[in-house]
Amino acid sequence: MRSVRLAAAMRSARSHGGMRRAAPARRPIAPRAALLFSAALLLAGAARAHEIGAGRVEVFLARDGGFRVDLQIDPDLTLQRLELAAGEALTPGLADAPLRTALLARRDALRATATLTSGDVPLATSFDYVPVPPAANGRREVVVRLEGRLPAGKPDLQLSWSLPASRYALVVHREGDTGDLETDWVEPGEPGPPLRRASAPPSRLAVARQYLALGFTHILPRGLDHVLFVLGIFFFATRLKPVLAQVTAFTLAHSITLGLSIYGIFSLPSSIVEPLIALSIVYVAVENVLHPQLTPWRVAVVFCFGLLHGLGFAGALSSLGLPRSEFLTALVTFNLGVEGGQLAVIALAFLAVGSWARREVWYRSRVVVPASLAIAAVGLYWTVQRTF
Amino acid sequence: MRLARLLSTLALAMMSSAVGLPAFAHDFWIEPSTYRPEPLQRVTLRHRVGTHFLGDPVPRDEDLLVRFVSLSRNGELRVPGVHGMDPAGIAQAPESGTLVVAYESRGSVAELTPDKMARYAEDEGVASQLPAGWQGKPLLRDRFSRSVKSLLVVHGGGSAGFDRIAGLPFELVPLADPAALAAGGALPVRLLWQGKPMPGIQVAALSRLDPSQPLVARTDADGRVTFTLPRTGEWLIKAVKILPVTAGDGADFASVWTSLTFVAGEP
Repeated sequence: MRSVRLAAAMRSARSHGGMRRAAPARRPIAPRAALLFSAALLLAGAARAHEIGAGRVEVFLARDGGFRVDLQIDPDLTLQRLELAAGEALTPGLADAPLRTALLARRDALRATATLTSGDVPLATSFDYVPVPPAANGRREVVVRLEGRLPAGKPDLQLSWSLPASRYALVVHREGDTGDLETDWVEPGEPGPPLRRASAPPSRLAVARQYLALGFTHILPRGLDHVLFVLGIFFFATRLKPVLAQVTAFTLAHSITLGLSIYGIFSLPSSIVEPLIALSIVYVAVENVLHPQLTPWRVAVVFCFGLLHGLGFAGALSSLGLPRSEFLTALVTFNLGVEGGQLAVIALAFLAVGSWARREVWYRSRVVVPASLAIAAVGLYWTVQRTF
Repeated sequence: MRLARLLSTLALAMMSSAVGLPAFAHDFWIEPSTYRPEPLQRVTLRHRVGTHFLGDPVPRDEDLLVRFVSLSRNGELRVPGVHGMDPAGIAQAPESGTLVVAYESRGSVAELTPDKMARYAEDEGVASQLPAGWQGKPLLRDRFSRSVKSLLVVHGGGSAGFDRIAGLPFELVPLADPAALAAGGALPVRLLWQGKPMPGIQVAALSRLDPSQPLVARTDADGRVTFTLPRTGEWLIKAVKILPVTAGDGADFASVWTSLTFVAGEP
């Protein structure tokens, strides 16, 4: 097998099969239609056997073992290749309808150009002929659609397609996959890579665990801005009640906007949210220095800032992706993970400083004020950085 | 069950090989949107790779491209195009005469098993050119490059310049005007290597309408070969030359593939 695998967005290039080495970086290209071609060149290297053609196969793998293979073909060229193989005279330039008739009359031969196996077992498929609107360059295209089901216990699908004369793109879509699209470049007539079937949907418990961890790690250690905001709340008072009042307001607020944003009801662009989050850090830290008394105003301000932080959490959660099957579970557990992270920050700060120093007379002058000023300085820096 | 599986696998393999054609020794040629453009007409140029004059479109690859030009009475012009796109380029026909489009590529390496190599050698008639002892190697690496051209004759403007030499490393040059040929007419062609006549090379001519019956001949001492074309229409003439490589080149041998596409008759 000689094939090359790459992420469609070229973010995580992975070699596969017979690729011997990566080629040096190649010049970028403007047209989107040529992105895959350029990506193939990026990875194909000097060991490619043939020029890379315009052929393409799209494979769709469902969780229940179903699969669909779309062979994109040039109908004129395909008909002539089939005629040549059958020892018939070549038919040039038919109109769409007679071309379809001629190809369907050779459906067995056309079907036989693609060998689909799982393990060593050949797979039976349905056959469908799907016309496609003409390409921008005027080339006629048709999809030959093969659909079937992987046998129970067989994890992989493997395609060998002998119709093209040049290396073709094999693009793989898996149900439920939210990561990079997988693309392989396969030599005609050679087996492509074994394509792993789509995995079963994760259980509710697995989703809960995963998103709980994601929510926690979004605060500790990844969310330094949220950590500084929570520390700002922590340094506000030495007693538990004011801290709890603020944390509760903050939690309530960010839960509201996280949910609203994830459900698409309300959101703001990150270009607005991120600088405001940084500014919120400055505010709570400066207020710790200037006005360290718990008032309803302070709780209201923290609540408002919590609304902003919730929009920030929503942005992070959206980029992680939410499983459709367990959307609410993921949302709730991510939020719980965030709470856990915040409480962990407060607990660590309490153990590090508060537990032994908060009753000392110098606690405010030597700990609260310098720490709050440092937090404010960092927040100010982020505000400027995120604004300009 | 095992027997059924074996039989079905064998059947699929046989059908695939019947349709798929050899997965090696692929020809490469230029296919213009028309071989008979009007004066000053813009013509798109496709690169094609395949066998039997039935080729997959190949997008333009700037990193393989050494030279892609059009030559006419107006001189030599670079063929513009976009990397990764098919058609590979666009050229403008002159006011009259023949527009020669020429493309030269860098080498790419293909890996061939001995059985594929043997079929390649037989199909292209290059067995005598291969390095000694190639049969004993489990895998052969061929650094192949392209050196191809196409003749476009401006409609109603004569075909002067049909024998223009493009200066490709390996080049087929018609010695008679293909546009003036009738069915059954003789077309002498000279094969040049680095600008000099190349003797002893197999040359094949394929008609678009019957590519399964190629005309095959070997160049004489003057690099000439003459084909009697049974029909007019679109033709592909092609040849392969094997070259030695230096140690450390990463290949066992190099090959240069030349082709010439044109329409015979229909002046």
